[in-house]
Amino acid sequence: MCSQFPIRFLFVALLCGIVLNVCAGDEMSAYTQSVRDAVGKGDATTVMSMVDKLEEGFGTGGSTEYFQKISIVCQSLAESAHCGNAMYPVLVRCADLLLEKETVNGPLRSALIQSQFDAIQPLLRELAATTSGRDRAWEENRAHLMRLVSIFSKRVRSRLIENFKPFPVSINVAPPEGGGDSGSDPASIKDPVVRAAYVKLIHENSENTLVNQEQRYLSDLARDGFSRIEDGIVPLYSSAPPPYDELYQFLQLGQFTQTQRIKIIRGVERASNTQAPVAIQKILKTEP
Amino acid sequence: MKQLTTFLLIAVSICPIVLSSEFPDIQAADVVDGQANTALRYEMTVSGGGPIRVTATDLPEGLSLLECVISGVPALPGDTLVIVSATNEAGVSQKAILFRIAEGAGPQAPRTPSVSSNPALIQAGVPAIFDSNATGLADFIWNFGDGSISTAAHPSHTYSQAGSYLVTLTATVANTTRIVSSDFAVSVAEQVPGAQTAAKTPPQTFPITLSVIKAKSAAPFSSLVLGATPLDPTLSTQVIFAAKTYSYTATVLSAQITSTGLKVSVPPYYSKGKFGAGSVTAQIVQASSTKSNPQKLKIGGLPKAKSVGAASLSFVDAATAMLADLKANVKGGIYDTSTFQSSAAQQATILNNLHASIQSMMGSKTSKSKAKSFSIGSINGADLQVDAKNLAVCDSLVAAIVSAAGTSSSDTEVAVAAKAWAAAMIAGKGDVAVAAAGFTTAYHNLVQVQTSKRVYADWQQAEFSLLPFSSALDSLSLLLGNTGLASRSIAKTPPVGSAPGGALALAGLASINASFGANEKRVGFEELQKGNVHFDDFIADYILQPHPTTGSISGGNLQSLAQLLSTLLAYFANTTQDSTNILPPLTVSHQSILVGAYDHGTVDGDILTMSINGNPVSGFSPLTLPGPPGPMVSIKLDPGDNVLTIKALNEGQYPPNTATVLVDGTEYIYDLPTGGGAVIKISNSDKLISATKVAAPDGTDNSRALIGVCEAVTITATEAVTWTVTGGGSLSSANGTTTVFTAPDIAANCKVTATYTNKSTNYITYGVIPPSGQTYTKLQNRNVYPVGQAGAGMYLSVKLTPLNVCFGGIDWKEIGLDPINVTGYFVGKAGHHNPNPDFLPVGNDNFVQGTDDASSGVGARPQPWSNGSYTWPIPNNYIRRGAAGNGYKFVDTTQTFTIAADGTCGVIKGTASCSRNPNTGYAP
Repeated sequence: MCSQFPIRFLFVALLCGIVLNVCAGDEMSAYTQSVRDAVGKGDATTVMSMVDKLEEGFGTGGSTEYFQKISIVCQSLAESAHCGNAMYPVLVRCADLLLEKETVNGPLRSALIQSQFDAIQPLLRELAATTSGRDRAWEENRAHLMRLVSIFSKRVRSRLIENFKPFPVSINVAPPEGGGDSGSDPASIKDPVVRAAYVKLIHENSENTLVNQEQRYLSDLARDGFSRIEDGIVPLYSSAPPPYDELYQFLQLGQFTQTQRIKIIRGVERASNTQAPVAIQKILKTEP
Repeated sequence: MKQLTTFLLIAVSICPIVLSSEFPDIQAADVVDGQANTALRYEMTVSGGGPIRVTATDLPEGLSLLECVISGVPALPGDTLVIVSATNEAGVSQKAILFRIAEGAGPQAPRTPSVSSNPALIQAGVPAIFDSNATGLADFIWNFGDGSISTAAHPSHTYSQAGSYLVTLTATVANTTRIVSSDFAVSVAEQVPGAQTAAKTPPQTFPITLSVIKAKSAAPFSSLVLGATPLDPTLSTQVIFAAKTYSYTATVLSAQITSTGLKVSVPPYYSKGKFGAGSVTAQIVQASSTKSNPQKLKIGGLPKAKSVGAASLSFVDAATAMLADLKANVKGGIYDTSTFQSSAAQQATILNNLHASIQSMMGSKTSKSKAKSFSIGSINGADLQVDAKNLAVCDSLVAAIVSAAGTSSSDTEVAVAAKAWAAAMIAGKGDVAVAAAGFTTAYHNLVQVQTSKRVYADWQQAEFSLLPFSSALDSLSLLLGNTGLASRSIAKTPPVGSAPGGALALAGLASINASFGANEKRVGFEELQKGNVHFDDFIADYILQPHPTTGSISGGNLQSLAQLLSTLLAYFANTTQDSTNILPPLTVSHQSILVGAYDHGTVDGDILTMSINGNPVSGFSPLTLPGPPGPMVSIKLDPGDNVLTIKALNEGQYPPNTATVLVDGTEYIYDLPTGGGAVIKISNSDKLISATKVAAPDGTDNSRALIGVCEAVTITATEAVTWTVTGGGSLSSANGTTTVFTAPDIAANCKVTATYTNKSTNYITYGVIPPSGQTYTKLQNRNVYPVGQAGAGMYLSVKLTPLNVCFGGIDWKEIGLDPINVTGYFVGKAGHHNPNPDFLPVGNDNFVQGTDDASSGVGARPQPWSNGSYTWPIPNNYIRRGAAGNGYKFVDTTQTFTIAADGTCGVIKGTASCSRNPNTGYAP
């Protein structure tokens, strides 16, 4: 209990905390600048090495710092005017690494999905804007990207609970009888039984909060974020004749909803001015 | 007549780059003087972003362009307009520079030659003399356009048939290989008996000083054109307005000293001039250097025999006389009645329309009694080949004219028009029916002009616009005018400073185009477009030219004129050249538009300025107008109404200032006097549609521009565009008609820009704000405490504020800290705050999705009780949903626990509170 510590110690502790926070902010700013500098110069090698170094520090469950930094990398690549052919492999690398990770520690579950989304979205845009021609290599890049998109989509779908009703959660958990005020520090509870019960309540409340948080995030992503992915897929198949079979396989693999599939296929039909094969038309009509 | 032109030369250079992200800007003089055979060097300054490509067209021979420097030794004297263009990624700027190369030392090279022929009116079967006025040319090749050629320097050629011919002269500059050429149109009329003798008279040019010694009014006359070169340098146009002395060089067909003085013949049109019989006397005070005996010369060939009287004659009298003329002179055999008689139905329709028009007009006039006082008298219907009903219409017509003329001086133009048209109808040697039909439409439009004058900046400007019409009618009256009415049909003439505009005549070219033969059109168009012929000249020379033999004017021509005037009147009714609020406002759907300008007439150094909402438009402040297409720049519009102001700084070499202004694809053609201008109102109807996902919790709709951090907005354009954002945030797609903008997670001003395929842009700005506070609402008290036991608590909802934006894209949490202000009972008991460590989603209603429990625990307030309190200072953080980290703190909340000696406990959090006595329970 802080009140039991000397005031001087408390002051030092607070000061350290402030300094540490400032340092963390400065470090993130410096990291952002270094990434932007490298991206701005089109220095793919440096950016790639930064990504690799980040990956080395991922550990088993990732960290807030990891996701903050990988998000900085992805957003810098997405925002940069130089994010063309030179940086495309870096984006692919980011997406590959991120999509290898299926789960992380609780508080970062949404952050993982967000970073995956951050990596995929500019990839879709950059590949569509490639001006070097849609040759065999480009088609292979498209297939790879669509595979990543499918994995991502499937992961989101599989974790999204239909008609989810948020768990009741508390901002300040009330301790069991005799435990003190709601939101109290468990350490202040002297009775170990009451303290253990209180810690359990806090943990359950936290778990419920994380579920609520993730489901809300996934719900938002499914509703709004996926429209970006849908819009991003269409230009990849705009050259006639589009490989509708390949496209449809990826849509199935990614567990895209029927509404999404229809939107994407119709978009490709318009963009390529080529009608989808009868078989796909039938499937679109008959699938629930 | 076209000027001889050199072959087009385009010089290209790359200027030193001055890096910036701007449109190219060319800083150069309007005029560069030089001397033939003398080295010349002129350096421009070109600035703008990126690589700039600089080109120059029509450089004088001997000059070249290298790195913004035009240099070399000009070979020939003369004026050459050079168009310098600078191009970079942003667009193209152009600058016109007039290179004036004077005669230099050494062999004198010829000036740009011109071509003339004599007589001016070339007739079939009559030899015409062609002459190049240039010197220093050799190897002449004349192509007369009828299959004949000549290599003589001054050939004589006889056309066998009437018609229009294109004559081309090609020659070389002596002792050089430079080729010059020119072409010009020649109209060959049917042979007039006796013309052959006249044609043999060689042309002579006499300096003539005319002294107008008697003027009809303060501003009495329309244009008098005796020659192309006014000797009086103060006269920019050949317009006489008052009694004074004017000097001109006139081309004189013949001159002869007689016992009474000097007898001068000038071309037919000019000899008839613009002076009404008996109203003006012009005096030749000097003609040639040897003749000093001033002789009176009547300028104006209208016979007085059919004059209706003195200048002061009232219009009613004039109309009466006019009808008398009608009765006396107009016979069925004179009229070209073929059209008129071809259809009784057509006749009836025309006259009924006319009648309706007149009735309509009369309904708005006050001088009905005056109109009624006029009697048409007895007219022989057989002579007119109209029936009694139609005569009644004519009666109404004249009465209406009288009424219109008598209402006010401001209506003079109406009177002028009406009188002239009446003259055309009644005294004309063409087809009454078609003239009447034309009048019907024209008069309708004229009434509109009169109505619209109220929105002119002032009436003076309205008169400006009416000038060409008056002039045209003047010509019409003149050439039709054997009734004498024509002499008074120009009672009101334009104010000083106005001039007929070729551009206005162009407005009627569509009608001309539909009505004339190919040769006539070609000649007429060329002359008009070159500005060599005033509008009234055009009508006189090409439309109302009497048949050389019969002296009659064709009904078809009259019909064409009627159409032309109708078109012009319609034009005048809806537009103005130099006033405000006449042009219909231009509505655009982008916040940036492209504007440009060029000289629609001869490129002659016209200079204008352009400003938008009072701010100079880059590249147009000022701009010497080049030929088409001219420079184009992008200007930004404010939301709503914008004002684009154009002002002419000069009238160039050939007045007026003829500017074509392009605004967002719409073309405006102006003839502007020096200092004159135009205003175009541009309404920026922003067509980017912005819609947030949801309305704000306070009901502010989803079109709002103030949004919460991480809030999403769907933006829709009217067409596929390229989207960009500055200031933070992200876009769902960079191309297409729709994008979703997600605001950044911190306060910002963001701008989403749509770039259209034509490079114009539109944008929407958003103010992004984070939450700044929160409200706590007590849901209920916490009823878990046994009677007699101290304790209190409540359940709260938390809502982020402000409520005029949505915070549904973020999560929220409290941050725990140690207690502060611990007193009394709580000393040693108050502990660290340990709230939910995880972020909780915020709903679109700004409510945090979770319940706050602000309470003491059961059994947490054991006796003995005493006064005391402590507070948790609670930082509140938010974070973008899905992001890692601790987010941003936006506000502190204090939560305070209290206890009294009687065991009454209280909790205060934000604006919510509760208080409970151990025995009596919660206070209400």
